[in-house]
Amino acid sequence: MTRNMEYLDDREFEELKKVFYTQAYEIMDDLQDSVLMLEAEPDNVDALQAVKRYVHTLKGDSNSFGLTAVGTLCHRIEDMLPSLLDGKGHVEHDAVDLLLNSLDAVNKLLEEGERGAESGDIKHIIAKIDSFLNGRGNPVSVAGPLTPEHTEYQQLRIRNALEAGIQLYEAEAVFHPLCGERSVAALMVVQKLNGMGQLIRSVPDTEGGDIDRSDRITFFFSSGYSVEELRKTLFIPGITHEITVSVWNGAPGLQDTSHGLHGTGNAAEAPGTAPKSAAASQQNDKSEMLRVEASKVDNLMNLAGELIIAHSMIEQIAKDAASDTVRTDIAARLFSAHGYMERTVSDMQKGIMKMRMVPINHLFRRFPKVVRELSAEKGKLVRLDISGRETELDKGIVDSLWEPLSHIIRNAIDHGMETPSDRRTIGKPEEGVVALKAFHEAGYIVIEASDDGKGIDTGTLKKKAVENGLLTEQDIQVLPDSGALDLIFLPGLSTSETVSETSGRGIGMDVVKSTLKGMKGSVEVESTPGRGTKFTLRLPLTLAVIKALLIGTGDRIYAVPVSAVTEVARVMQSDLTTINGKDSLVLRDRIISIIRLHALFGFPDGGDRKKQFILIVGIGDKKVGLMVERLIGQQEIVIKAVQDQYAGSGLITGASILGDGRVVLILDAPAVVRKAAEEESAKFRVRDRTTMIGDREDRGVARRGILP
Amino acid sequence: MEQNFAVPANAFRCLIADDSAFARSNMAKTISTAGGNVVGEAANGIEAVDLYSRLKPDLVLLDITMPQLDGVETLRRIMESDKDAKVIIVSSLGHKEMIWKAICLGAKSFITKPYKPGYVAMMVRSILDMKGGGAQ
Repeated sequence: MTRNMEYLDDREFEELKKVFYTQAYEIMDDLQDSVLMLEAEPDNVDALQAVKRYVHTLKGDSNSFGLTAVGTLCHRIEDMLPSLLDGKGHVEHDAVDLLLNSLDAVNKLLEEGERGAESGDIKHIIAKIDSFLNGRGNPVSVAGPLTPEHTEYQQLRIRNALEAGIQLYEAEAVFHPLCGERSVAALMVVQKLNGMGQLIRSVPDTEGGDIDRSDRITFFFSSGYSVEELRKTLFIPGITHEITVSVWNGAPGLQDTSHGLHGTGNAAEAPGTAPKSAAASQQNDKSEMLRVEASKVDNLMNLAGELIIAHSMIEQIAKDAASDTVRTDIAARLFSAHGYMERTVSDMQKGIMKMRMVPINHLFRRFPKVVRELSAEKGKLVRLDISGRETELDKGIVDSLWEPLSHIIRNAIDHGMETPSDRRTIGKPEEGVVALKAFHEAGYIVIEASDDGKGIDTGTLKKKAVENGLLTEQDIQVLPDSGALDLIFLPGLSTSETVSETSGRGIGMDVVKSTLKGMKGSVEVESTPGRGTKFTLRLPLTLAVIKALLIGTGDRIYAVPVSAVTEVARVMQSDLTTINGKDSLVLRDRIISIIRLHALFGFPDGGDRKKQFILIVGIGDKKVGLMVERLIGQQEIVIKAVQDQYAGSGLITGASILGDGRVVLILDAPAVVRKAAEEESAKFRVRDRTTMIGDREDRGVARRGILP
Repeated sequence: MEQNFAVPANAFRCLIADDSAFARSNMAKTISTAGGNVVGEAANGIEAVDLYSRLKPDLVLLDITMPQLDGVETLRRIMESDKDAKVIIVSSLGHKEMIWKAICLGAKSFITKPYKPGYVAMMVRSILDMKGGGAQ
């Protein structure tokens, strides 16, 4: 890239560079959205205008910045925009495909430019655009032949001038070499001329396409002003460069018209392509936005976290003071200060969190392209339905969701979706539907990715699991169907009959699962043979602060996210029944198995078991009762990352510090629920087997705790 | 955004209107090298009209394609509020119809992107030296 702005120092240039690339990528995202929107709704005038405006802005910025490859490519892209729609207002899919390809090329150029790499070759893509345009009979506009003779109207004007005794002039104006729009420059000169006389003719014509390739223009006109006056007026700084005015006798003599043409090839602009941007882009107006580095927001978030800790410390002091009869007034003041601080801190923390929230559309909008390309490649007919685009979630989560979600979607199209002819045979509509849906639910964001394809064949899954040595025949016998589905999350289990490039071998659902787990979320799968498959991804709304229920057993305190607790019950030992050798609680006709907090972590029983509390912890429709000795209270806690070395339990998601300085461990609710389910089917221990297989074959796959 | 900082007394006061933050910073730097003082930056037409009436700058560099109010409409409103306003249209290639409309509505001249700072400086100086009337 040539550095275009030699008047800037290095620091200024780096600043501008940052602004340029940030904005360029934003434009590319919006542009792609608009193209796809236009394809879906060809009569969406706003989308078409938006596309034009985005390409145009990018062209201008890139040229100014010195990334001329992008500028040139954008210029050619502009040329093909009129071909997006045919005369009847239908979308030309070839043109859309080519446009999307070209945008990929632009993206690549931008990335190369940002890395400081040499720009790749754009000849190839430009040739594609050229051949596309030529194939459509849209050659670069060619001006009609110039008539050396005056038209009758021009002759009339000459005659009138001569009869009235008004002087005829010939003036040649050379355009300023840096003047970008010669046709406008010519009109500006005409405007001046019209104030001083009457224009008879110009060569080239101000209305023709030639003018933009011409470095000068000659006017023939009548005027009552002197040569010097004319010369002075026709000189417009930055527009005209040199003016020669001479008296003219009215004879044609205009044959030599080609001298001003210098071939700049594609400089001709098709008239009528100038976009009107006014209303088109209102929803994309970013003027109110402030760009802030994510690390700065993270830092504020951490500080807010520290404040929350400080504020629980004050609360603790207030409580201590309240128990001292002498200091009741101090206690009251402390409580009031605490209450004030609580509101402020909570508002502040919410405010900062909101800063980090972005609509999930930032992620969803990348999928139409994936679905389009992949379904075309696989010969499937797939429609993508997206809902809940506006659902907000943490920016950090959005970014890490791309990989798992695109894996699921790719799988759905590659393996889940039948071919159109197969679908017709079994009475389904030829066009399959892949749906992405996002919504908030109890402190979590839920993303559902579903398809109406053939569903997952649990029989095949079981067979594969046995073939790969993950399970034995006996395991299979007792494995319920819902458990069988979960087998797809095992590492090294390729579900497809044919391993394709798309889903590949090795990167599989196990990675999806571990990614989600890394974000303190979970993934579940449901499938009905012949009807389709649905993956449900569940993630905490934000990673940093949660409302938690503090519980204790012995002298240990744990925290459970409130969002995971559906109910708290106080029970006596006599309320429990034993089913299949396990303690269970019958709660409104539903049998809920009980898991004891101390047993989870292998501590001795706390003693008094007569009166205890049971937290009903639910994830999806799975529920388990967590029995605890003490219920301490509800509090907002700051999650601090913690190495999960707690007996390798896999049940801890983080730690927090309480007001009195005590450290609490935060339970991973989905993991607890899973653990309970695992103990329920004691015969079925995939976890142990996987570990064993891993030891034996060293598969190179991380040996995590595997479900179910 | 209104901006205020110490500048030489003879510096001209300039308003920049462009929806591209990149284009704005680029133009701002160009204007300062040309000896001008950027007193305001507008990211859309409505802001531009508002800032013009509040700041009464000597010169406006107006992007032709902007959201909410395009350059032409913005120009129309600025000219309505001040018939002597000196506005230079800034545009990338391919907008000749809108540029021409703007010139007809009273814009003093136009600059196409990419531009050379020296060219802008020359253009700006010549417009500022003009007495009142301008291109008409």
